Amino acid sequence: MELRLRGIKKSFGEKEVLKGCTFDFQQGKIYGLLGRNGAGKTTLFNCLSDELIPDEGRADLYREENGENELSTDDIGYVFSTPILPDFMTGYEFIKFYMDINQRKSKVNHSIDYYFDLVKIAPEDRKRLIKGYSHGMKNKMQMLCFLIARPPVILLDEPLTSFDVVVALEIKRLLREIKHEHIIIFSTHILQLATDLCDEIVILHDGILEKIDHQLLYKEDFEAKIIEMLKDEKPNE
Amino acid sequence: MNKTIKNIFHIKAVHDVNTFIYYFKRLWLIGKCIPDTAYANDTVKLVLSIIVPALKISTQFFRKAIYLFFFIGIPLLISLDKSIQLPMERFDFAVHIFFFMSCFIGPLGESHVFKVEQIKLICLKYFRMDAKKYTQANIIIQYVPFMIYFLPGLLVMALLTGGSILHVLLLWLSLFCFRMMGEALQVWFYEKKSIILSRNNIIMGILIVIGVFLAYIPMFLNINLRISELLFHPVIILFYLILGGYSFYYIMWGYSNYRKKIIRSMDTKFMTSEMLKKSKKSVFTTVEMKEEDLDHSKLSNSNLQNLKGYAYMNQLFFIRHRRQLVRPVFYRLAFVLLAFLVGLGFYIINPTLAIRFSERMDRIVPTMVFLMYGITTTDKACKAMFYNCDISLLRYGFYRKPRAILSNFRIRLLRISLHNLIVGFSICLAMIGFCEICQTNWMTRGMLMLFLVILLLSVLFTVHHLFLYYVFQPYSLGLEVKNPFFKILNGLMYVICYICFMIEASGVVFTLGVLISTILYIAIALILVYRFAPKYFRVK
Repeated sequence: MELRLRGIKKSFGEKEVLKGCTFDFQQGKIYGLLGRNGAGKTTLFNCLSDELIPDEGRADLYREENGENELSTDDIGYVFSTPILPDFMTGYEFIKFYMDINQRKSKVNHSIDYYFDLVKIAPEDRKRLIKGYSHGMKNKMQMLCFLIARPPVILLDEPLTSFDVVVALEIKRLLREIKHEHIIIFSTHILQLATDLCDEIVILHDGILEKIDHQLLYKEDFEAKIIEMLKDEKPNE
Repeated sequence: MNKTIKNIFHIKAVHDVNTFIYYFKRLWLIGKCIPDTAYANDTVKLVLSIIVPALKISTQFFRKAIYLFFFIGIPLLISLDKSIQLPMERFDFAVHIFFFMSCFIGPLGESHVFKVEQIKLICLKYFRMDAKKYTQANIIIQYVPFMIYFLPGLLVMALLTGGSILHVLLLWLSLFCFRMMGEALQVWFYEKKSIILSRNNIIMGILIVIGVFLAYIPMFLNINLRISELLFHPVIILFYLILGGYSFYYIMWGYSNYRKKIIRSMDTKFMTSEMLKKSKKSVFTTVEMKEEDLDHSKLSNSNLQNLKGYAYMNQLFFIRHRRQLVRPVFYRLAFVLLAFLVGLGFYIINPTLAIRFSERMDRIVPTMVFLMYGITTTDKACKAMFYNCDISLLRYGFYRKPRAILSNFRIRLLRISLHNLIVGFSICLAMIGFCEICQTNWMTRGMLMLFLVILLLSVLFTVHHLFLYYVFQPYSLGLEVKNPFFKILNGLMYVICYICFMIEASGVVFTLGVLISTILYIAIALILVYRFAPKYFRVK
């Protein structure tokens, strides 16, 4: 399975954020998407998840059994950097609702509590309203969405920063566990997180995606080189 | 202080000019012509820094004049029109109202020392300006223009009502003194009790009721409180000059605790609501959820466990939004009951006229069109749906899928139609009840058609608002209406209903016309929703 991006362009007014992103993301790998503030990481994710309509270009999902098809919202699990969830529901109700509507997609039949246990949301918090959840808890709820629906492509927009060390470790373990069945793209500013978790590093700079040589990941001067590359970019903010 | 005033003016100018460019850029069509670089264009900003304050100043003069016309001019015109004998001269009448509105309600209802504005937030929280120096400078910045803006309006008022220049100047001076007394009282009270009077809704409610009552009721009851005599009496003048002068001294130099207290008075929760009001987003508060709405105990009676997916989600939504969605239905039912009781009273007082009215009730179809437009609750329901539910869920791909959108639409249409049909049905029942009391036969063709019109209109206005919501999704993140077509179509519907109300058409043809157009509108709107909502129902 491959996620194929071809010449994705997106501008806001006169500002050209994505200048033609072309890249092939492969199944079984966690990709770290690195870029400076305002480089367009979230814009790229929004274009892929159909939240924004790109000005040009396309995104396709290639499967061996089906061939190449246009990427659809069903293929995407998107964890937003600022979690957005309906405040009027409890965590338990939201997960029940989400499981109901994804019943057909879910390959395994776990209980609601199983999922809560997975991300360590305490039983007493499960029936509290999402309105009162902390940022970290809301983020865990978003994680649960893709763990339930298990879409082929998972986009994570700087999610681990809000987790405490125990949960962050748990989520990392989970991501590694499920990566064989998915294409996981993970945007972050934190280089250490990227090197620690990701199999490949992709840099979004000057509106274009660029893969970093895999060997570079294990070199001592990796950080210095990445910073040097990003410095070349004109800051957008 | 001069330096602080200069700094505040500078920040204000930058803020106002940037805000002006920002909103200008958001104007339909014209806004697109303004490039992003406008913010960086020094010449444009220099020109705007002259134009924007000039516009502001001229609107302020105008606003004060409007205020005087609205609160003093209109009651005076009404009294002249209805030939109401006033117990005083016209100028005294104006002074009486002005005193209670501007020297009583005004100083206690508004405090520039405690008022939270964006500039105050910027200066004190971000720029860490000295709170005492800021407050001193702000008092000058606020009150010098305030007094200047009022003067022309007061002079015109005196000219039209037969007052002298001296009296106007005294009134003007008293306004300043009472304003200062009000500010001093608020500062003193906050120091002692940590309560800001002008933010206390109960105190303000009582104050407004008393103020308005004293301003308007006594004179129409032929009671003269002799306010102008008192206000222009030398002893009283001396009294308020001394008190006003001392208050001014107290708030400017006498009070020493601004540094500690002002920052504390800038309550974040209050600030947010103030900012929202400022930016005309007070509509938020009408649909915002409160903690009590989320009480789980309210779920005990519902059959939630049997529901699944979108039916389950919507059921939860409706249960937790009773205050916004169900309570208005109860208010309307109470209103219908009240109307019925008025009808009953009408029959008791004048049975002949009541019977005649009941016999001709089928002629009120045109009025019913307008009434039903006003009485349906869907508009607010759409706002609540957007702000409390769709705004977050629409970010998820699964929620934007055509099937999901239409499934939600169907559930909501049925539910809100039910709310509006209950109101429509109660109106029909009230009419039947009134006819029964008058012993008029209501099983006539005309009456049955009227009932059908009422019930269909209940559905029509539900469909109308939901159709506009789903096809145009007009709300921005701030609940402002962004879509011009939404505004046009909504306005058009209002105008049509208003025309129905104004024209005195009646009879079978008109009723049939309403019936047919209602059915057609519902059918077309539903087709359009099914055709376009999946594409356009997004967060803009």
